[in-house]
Amino acid sequence: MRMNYRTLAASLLACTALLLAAAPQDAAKGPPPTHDPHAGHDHKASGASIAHAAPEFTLTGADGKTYNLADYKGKTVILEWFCSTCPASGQGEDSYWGSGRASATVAGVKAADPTAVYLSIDSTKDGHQGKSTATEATDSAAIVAKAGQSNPVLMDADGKVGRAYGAKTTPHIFIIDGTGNVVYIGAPTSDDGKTNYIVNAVTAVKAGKPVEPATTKNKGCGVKYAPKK
Amino acid sequence: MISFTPILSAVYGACASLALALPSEFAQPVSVAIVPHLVRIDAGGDAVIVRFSIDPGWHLFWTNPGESGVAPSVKLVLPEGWTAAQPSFPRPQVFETGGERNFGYETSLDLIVPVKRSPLSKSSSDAASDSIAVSASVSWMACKSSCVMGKSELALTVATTTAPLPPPKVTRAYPTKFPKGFAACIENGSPHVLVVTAPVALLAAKDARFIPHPVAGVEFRGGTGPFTFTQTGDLITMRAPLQLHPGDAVEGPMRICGLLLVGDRESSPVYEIDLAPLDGPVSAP
Repeated sequence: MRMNYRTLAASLLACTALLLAAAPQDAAKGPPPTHDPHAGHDHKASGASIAHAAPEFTLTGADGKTYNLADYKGKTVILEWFCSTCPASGQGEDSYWGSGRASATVAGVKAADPTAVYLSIDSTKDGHQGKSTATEATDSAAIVAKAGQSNPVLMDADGKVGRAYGAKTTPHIFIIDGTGNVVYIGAPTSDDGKTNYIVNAVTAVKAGKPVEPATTKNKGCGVKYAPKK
Repeated sequence: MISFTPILSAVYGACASLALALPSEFAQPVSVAIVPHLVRIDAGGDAVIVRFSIDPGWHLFWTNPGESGVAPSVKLVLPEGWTAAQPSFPRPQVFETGGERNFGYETSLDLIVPVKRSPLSKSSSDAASDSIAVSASVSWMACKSSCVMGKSELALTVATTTAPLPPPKVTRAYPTKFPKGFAACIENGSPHVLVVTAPVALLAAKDARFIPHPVAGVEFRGGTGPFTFTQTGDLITMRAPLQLHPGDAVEGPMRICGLLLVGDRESSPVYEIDLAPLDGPVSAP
């Protein structure tokens, strides 16, 4: 293909001009405001966002009890989006719960801050893979119990809470500090499992330090939401 | 001429992945095998090819799976004197279902793992032989209406004499550097903006798509997109605002990376964008 050198030059000039135009502007403003680790996190479009108030909710647990986020004011709250049929979350020995990573996390959280609250939330729609929400609740509680834990699993079959937070995957973690602000959104651990982002965040909050990283890339099955009404 | 077909069939059958314990509703929809010879790659050098076969309706994921999913992982173990680079993923397909956007592959996927024999290696007899023992730990997530995990431990003697790649079920393009006329740069500010330009003679706005790589500490405001390409005069331009969060950069230095997809076929061109936040403009040499 023959190149049109005028358009090539125009293309390069456009980019160079943008850089040149930006340079004096930056010099005048000083470096970008990146010192505050919470500055500029922009998750608003997808629901909850760092350094902003966590959406309130009231949900019924698989145990039949009612759970209200407002009741945990003053405590660090970990929300973990969960699904019993997702192989990254609750199903199988390689999953977050089946592999022992979830149990290690819950234990680590308790050690870091005994008052912290760990809640699993299941936003799977009624009838996914032929399972009713009641069966999903039973299976979810059984998976948690099998892992030797007793944290509640809150059922959100209409997906309103999941959508309010912007939960995309199972697992997907949101951590809320005692003031009710979101301080962490992302994966529970690094891919190799060596870094536990949840425990690190709870430890930082307990120590009054900023949470770093405040966001990581969440991975897992897509949340199987019910259609919006 | 030697026909590789029966050999390949036998080898593929022998090292096809074992299905894991799966939910009773699903058989493992993915099988994986190592191609039994090295392949010469366009970038220069040789590569081990790890080939996935995917049942109809299922898909695997690109390095950025999109709003959900997990990319396949390949870890090669080679004889002393040989080294392997990171796998190269081909141009992904874009799946948009139920308001969710994902990037991945249907039908088949070849991951290219560049390998190199060290010229300094003297001790290993393998280094000079016409074949090497290759082991691979491979894992993946495959999804349809639900998802399953899979993993496989492969071991194969691979011929070091290169041969053409056995034809894949789907021919996919692999990322290359920008051709002449294309340019990308970072416009510093708050937010920073990734700017990609190309002459209209080379790129039609409707045929262009940008998808970002997930890099810790780099947050594209448009998420997984779509990002808009607009025409002004003779230029097509995309502007993608992004935020940098140094505190979140847990994987090393922040890079602004992604793919520019041109056209809509798996074999259509795909160009790699990889800039440091303070890089100058990048264009064809």
